[in-house]
Amino acid sequence: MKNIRIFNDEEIGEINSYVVNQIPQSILPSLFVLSEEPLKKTKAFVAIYRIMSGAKEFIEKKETCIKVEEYISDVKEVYNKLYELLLDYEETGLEITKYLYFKKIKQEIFNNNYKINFFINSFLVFAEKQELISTDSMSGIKLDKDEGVDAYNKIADLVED
Amino acid sequence: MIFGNGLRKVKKSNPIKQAVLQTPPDLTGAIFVYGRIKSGKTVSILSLAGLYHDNPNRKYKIIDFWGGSRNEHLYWGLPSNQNKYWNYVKKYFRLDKEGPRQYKVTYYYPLIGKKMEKKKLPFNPPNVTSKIFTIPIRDIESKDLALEIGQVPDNINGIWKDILSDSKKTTTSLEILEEFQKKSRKGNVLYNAVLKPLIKCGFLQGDSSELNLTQKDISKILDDQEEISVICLDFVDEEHKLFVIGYLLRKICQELDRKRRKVIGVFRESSEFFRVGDQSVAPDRIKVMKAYLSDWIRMGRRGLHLLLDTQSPSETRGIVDGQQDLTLLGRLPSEADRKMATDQLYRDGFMTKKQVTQLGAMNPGQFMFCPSGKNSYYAYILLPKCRYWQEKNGNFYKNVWEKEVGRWINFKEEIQRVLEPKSFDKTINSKPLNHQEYVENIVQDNKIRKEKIISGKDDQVFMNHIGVMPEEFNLQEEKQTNIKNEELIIETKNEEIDPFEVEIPYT
Repeated sequence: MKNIRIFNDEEIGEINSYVVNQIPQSILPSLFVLSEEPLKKTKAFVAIYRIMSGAKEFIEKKETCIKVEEYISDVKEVYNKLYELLLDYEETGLEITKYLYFKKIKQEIFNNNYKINFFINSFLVFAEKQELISTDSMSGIKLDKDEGVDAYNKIADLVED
Repeated sequence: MIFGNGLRKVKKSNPIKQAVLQTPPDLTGAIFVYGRIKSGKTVSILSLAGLYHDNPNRKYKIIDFWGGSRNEHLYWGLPSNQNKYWNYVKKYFRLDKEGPRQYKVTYYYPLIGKKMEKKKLPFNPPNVTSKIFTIPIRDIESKDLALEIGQVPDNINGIWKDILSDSKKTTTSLEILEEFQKKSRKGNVLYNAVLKPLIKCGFLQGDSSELNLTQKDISKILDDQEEISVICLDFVDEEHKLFVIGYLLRKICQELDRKRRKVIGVFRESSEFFRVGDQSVAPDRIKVMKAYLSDWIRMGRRGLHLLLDTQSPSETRGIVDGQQDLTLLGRLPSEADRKMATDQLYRDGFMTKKQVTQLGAMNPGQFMFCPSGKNSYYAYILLPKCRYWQEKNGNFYKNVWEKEVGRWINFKEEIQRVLEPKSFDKTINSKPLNHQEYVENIVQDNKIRKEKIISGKDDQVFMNHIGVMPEEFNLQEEKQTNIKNEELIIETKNEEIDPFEVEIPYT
């Protein structure tokens, strides 16, 4: 499994801005692991996979696109299987076949639980509501606040003559 | 907020965000920065101007008028080299973008004689370019002439107005000079010290000059908010500098009266003008400049906001009181200076005793912000996103631009066309190019040249664009340059270096 650390801050920021803009903050938490109920977990996994593959199309840098591609490729097979099973499950009207599909979904999750959990958890990083400060509007540091004095002491030494 | 049953809702705020100082509000007047030497005044001026330019809610046009004796205005064209500093600031405050920034900059150089033919000026498309300009003589008013010789006597003023009213669009500057000579007394100071040298060097032109900076051009400059316009008076004689600035400021004010824009005019080391008293021995033109500056400072509501720095508040006594929007007080070790700067604020309850004491021991970049009619606060201004003058720099052209960018533009042909239009027409019978076409041609030629160098062919395509370096940095020495393409090594020995051959990447 690809580690989330392959993305740098800038890349995470770019993916994050896509994710946060496309999906309202009220819906995002429901995508995470709130339940281990197989159907809900499958739906969350499918939705997250779709968001990430959608983000790939909107990223400017080619290198980031490649990283996203690598990141989602680890679960591509699982997604293909679960997506098909989920569609079949939703489509069928017979209780017995529903039950059979549900069992298959459960088995698929059981077989790939680590991958699915890892994928959903790492999505947290991209979906986190980042409160960035605009470089274009920050003019300085307030020195009448303790936090400001701390920050000033740290950066003042970094000025190169 | 208090809820029922004594429960209190506590909202946790981000402490780092609370320490961030945002851009000061929109301006209605000027900004004054006071502080002793090494208090970081000029660097902070650059930072503040940059912020008013970058902030999407401000979007001010920046015109840098006065770089002071250290030519600090030239540094707009390079991004900051304080990478360690900005990386840390970005990470610590979680900034959304990188700090160092390559601004779109145009350097405007007045045409001061044939010597400009040889000058190579900074050029780094698409962001940095240089332009040469002249001014139409028929646009000059006696107000402008006062910045050369002090107040213009009434009789000379009358003669000047007569000559201009009799002149036509086709009248050349030489014809106006002849007319003035006929009408004025022999040895007239305006003729000898101003008109003759400025017309001779080509700076004052008839209306038809292609290099004229017309009202339309000024309007375009003001409309292009993204571009930072830098007036470069490096090659202009000391006695003519104020005349150039005065003329430009007057035209800008005229344009702002026609259509309002938000403009910041940067003036460094303005104490040079403000220190001058009426009884001092300074030239009259500086006294006139002081009076004009006071007027321009009051023009804030038209849209022109001056950003000035000076060492002591006593220098601006009676000039800016009540006209400034924002006053920044840096380190003021002198008791008298501190008293003058803070007495009123303290009495009005906008500053505390502790804040007054802090003024005695501030580090570079630390300032007491005193917004008009509001409480003062103590803050540190971040470094500018562009480069700024540092002691190690010395000559900008030689030590900074040549080493880090090394690309130049030369206006030999345009200057020849303006200074010797007839002889030039005989030798080259071509339609003059406008500036944009000229720059595009050079960029295109540059590509061809590089391709030819790589393929091993020699050609002289670029010889027309090669200028000679200013005397102070003669590059006619042995030099070996490795081009990025490792296969190719250009060796030049006792030859002029083609500035467009070699690209020195800078970060």
